[in-house]
Amino acid sequence: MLKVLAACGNGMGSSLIIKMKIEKVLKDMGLDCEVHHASVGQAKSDARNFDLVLVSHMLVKEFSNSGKAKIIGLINLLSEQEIRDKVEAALKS
Amino acid sequence: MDLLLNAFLGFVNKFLGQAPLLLGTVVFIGYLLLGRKSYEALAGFIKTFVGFKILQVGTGGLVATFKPIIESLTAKYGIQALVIDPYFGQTSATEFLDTMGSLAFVGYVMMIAFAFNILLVAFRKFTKIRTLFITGHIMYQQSAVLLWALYWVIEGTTGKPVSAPLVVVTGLLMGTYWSVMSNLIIEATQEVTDGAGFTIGHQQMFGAWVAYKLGGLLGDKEHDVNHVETPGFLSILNDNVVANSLIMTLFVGVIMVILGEETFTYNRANYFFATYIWETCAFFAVYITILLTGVRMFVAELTASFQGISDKLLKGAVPAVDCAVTFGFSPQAPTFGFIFGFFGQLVAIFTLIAIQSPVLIIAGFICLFFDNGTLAVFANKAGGRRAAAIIPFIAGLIQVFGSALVLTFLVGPPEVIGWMGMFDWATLFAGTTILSKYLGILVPIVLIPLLLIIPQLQYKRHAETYFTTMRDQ
Repeated sequence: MLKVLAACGNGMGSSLIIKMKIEKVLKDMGLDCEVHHASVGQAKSDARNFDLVLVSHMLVKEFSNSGKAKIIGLINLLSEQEIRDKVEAALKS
Repeated sequence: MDLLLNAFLGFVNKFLGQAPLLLGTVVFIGYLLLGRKSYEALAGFIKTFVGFKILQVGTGGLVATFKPIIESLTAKYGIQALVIDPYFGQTSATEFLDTMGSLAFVGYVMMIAFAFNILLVAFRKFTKIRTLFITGHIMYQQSAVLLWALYWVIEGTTGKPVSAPLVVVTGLLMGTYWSVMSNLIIEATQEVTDGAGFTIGHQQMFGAWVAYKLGGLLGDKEHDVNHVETPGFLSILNDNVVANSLIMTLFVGVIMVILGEETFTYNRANYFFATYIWETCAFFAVYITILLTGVRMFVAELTASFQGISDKLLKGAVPAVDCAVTFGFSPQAPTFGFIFGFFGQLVAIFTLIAIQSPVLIIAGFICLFFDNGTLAVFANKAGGRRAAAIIPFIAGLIQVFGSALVLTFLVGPPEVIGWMGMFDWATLFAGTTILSKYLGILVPIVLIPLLLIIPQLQYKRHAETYFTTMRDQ
């Protein structure tokens, strides 16, 4: 099972939206996943427990120390196409 | 018969009148309607209930931390210090409404508002509303604050719980605001995001629209703010724990120093005054983190349930989402907005001190960053860096003065520690609250049809392309 974390400034609005989009996209891709959402502050200390971390591209640099987790920066948090492309690329690498 | 009636009244008071039980039940039913398994629905109920209780630990803690400081300030200088931050506004509202036995009505206001929003979109042929508000934490917060404010100015002297008509009117006004203002900002949001297909559902839709309209007059959109380097140290503010601690230490710390060491009772064997100040201020971050954890838990369930319902009912509606979603399209603008909004708020706060205002405003991080950040994103799109500096600065002044003004009408109950502060709340809702003080419930009632004229005017301006922003049409 893929463990995914969605993060944004307060961990309230944007991350919840990405979370719902990710759940939909990964389900469409046929992947079993568990998606959590959190604020950047909490996500930083938690990132190493996840496989993927999705955040706005401007916050990617916050996650310099996140172990094996792959950090994905999104420009449009609501674009299923962008999430799908970037998740696919990250899982391949 | 009496037995039946008593059982019914008991159910109303002890179940439907209890906010966490009510919201949990809404989630439970919503999940069942969406065809989820019953054990998933039960899990949703539990997480909503527990999340709500965690939230209450946070709000209680905020009041307990802040209250002694406000009280000392009032005792010593006769002024009230209040924080302009949405979570301080929400805390004031829910803690106060709880003492009036009216906390559950917040849930009803939210549901009436959401249902009205769905209705307005369903009849979009006539109403011209294209947007559905799905920003769960904002919906709860705004319902709470608006109900508190209108109740206090209209029915506060009765000492009774909120009346049913006021709950309904508040709900309808809330739903109208969500629908009309998120609809108003669609076109500008499409510009800002290169047609990403969503709109803003937050606390400054009106403000962002004004920023976008005025932005073009103030500067040149070619001088984009994203070509400017902002100082690197500001990136530590991306962490909300750090940001809350720093901003609170800055403002509340100064107040504590002015009040002086002798005002506070603490164990002097364990603390210097400085470390005591730091710990007290850091506790704001502690309780805000707890509060956010609770909100995150119950709002995630509520939003999933709401969105499922709305997806079934309304296919093409444009989702109105958190303002921070626009930040990725203009990464430097929020920082710009933060800096200039901060200067604006500081100027306004010193003005309040200079004119010896009875209400002193303490700046809060969320208002500074998310509100002015959003205004800067929209101002920048229309008028580049000049607009992205001037508009947040002016907004900073408005946030402080507008909030201070409305708070002079709201102070009194000991649970009140702040107000939203966000642009629309320092303007539209501050005005509504103050007018309602003098004209009563008539004000929110009249505002509903007046606001509904706005989408009609928008439609007139570009009737052919108006509905093309919607996904399925």
